[in-house]
Amino acid sequence: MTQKTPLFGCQALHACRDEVLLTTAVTADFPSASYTQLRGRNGSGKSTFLRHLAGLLPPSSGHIIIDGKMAKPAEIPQQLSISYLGHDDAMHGDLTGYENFELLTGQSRISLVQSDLYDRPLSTYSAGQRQKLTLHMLDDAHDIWLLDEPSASLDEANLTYLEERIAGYLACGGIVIAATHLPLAQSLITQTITLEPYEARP
Amino acid sequence: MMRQVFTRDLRLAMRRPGDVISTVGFFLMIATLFPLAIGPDSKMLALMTSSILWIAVLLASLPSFDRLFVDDYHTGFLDRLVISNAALWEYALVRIISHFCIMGLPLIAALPIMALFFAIPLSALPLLALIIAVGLFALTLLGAIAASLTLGARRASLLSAILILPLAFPIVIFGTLASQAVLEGQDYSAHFALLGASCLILLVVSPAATFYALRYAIEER
Repeated sequence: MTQKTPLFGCQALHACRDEVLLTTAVTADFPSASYTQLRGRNGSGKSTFLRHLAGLLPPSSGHIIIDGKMAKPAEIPQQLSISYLGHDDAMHGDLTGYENFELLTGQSRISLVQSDLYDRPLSTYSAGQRQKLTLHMLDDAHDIWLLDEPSASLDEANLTYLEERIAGYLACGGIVIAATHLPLAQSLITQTITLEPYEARP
Repeated sequence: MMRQVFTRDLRLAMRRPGDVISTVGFFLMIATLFPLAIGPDSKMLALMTSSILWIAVLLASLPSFDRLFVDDYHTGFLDRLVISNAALWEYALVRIISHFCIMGLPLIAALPIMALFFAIPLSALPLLALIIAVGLFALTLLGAIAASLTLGARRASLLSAILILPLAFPIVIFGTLASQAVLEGQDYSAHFALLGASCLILLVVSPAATFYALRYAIEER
């Protein structure tokens, strides 16, 4: 983590795609050592909301706040270090687990648990094995973890591993924002944000 | 990060050599079609050698440009670059260079086979290879702009070909004239200088243009 974790929050932020508002406005702070769960039905804009927070998608209504100032989308990755787990895991099927890990984290393979599995090309992995590998890419040194359905294909052992990682990260002051419809580390939750579909007033 | 992207590209090219082999095969096939269509008139073919070479280079390299960013776009790798605050223009430049090494250099390596088909003197080959290398690099720079602009579009390959071709005319014209001059033993420096100038202009313009197009494509994803 950087010297002092910047104060991160959002103000009247709607999840929106192609200028269409998907959810009602959300105003929230994400202080350090907090675990926020984003809830909502399928298609309610959870992933889109996370993409706004990561600076990948400029919101057409609302703002991201960093240290009390409005931050432009391009400024977010400059001011915060982010671990992002999305639907697309950014890994390449023709590369081995180790090679994908080194490319995406910039760390050497020594920091990954030794396993014969990671010497095989990723295209031979099951969905759960693939997701397990992405969990290893979460970096305790980053300011924020943005998790998009991180537990969808995990078995019980790996789910426990993920919950331990979240607990450990929160203990050292990290910020976790997770979009999920499955229960995940429920005992650690600081706040729950439920995304409601936006309905334009007549 | 950028060195890792370059090694990754080389590694992937080694693991699926089919892409390169088919591009080189396509290149040779186009060139062999011309003698079949025109007839075995060696004088006529000698006159057209440089034009045939450049048409083959252009047509063989066009389809490969689509591959520049599309994989990284769909896997979400581009998203990670943005999130980790990596310089997208640097990434674009690395991809252009690695694509040139993986797809362009094998085409140039196939030139001796072309020399057999068209009775090109071996002494002219090194210069010809240099001219085609500069032209191919310029084409790849152009291809990167088109490939990034058409990311996520349907029928992207056709669309990017339509975008590239008109802009590729100067490169093909200067390249053909320079190669023709080399084959005829005349002074090629003026045409070659113009070809080099086009390449340098694109070297400045392309990473910047590609940067904005990629940024836009990521937002629209």
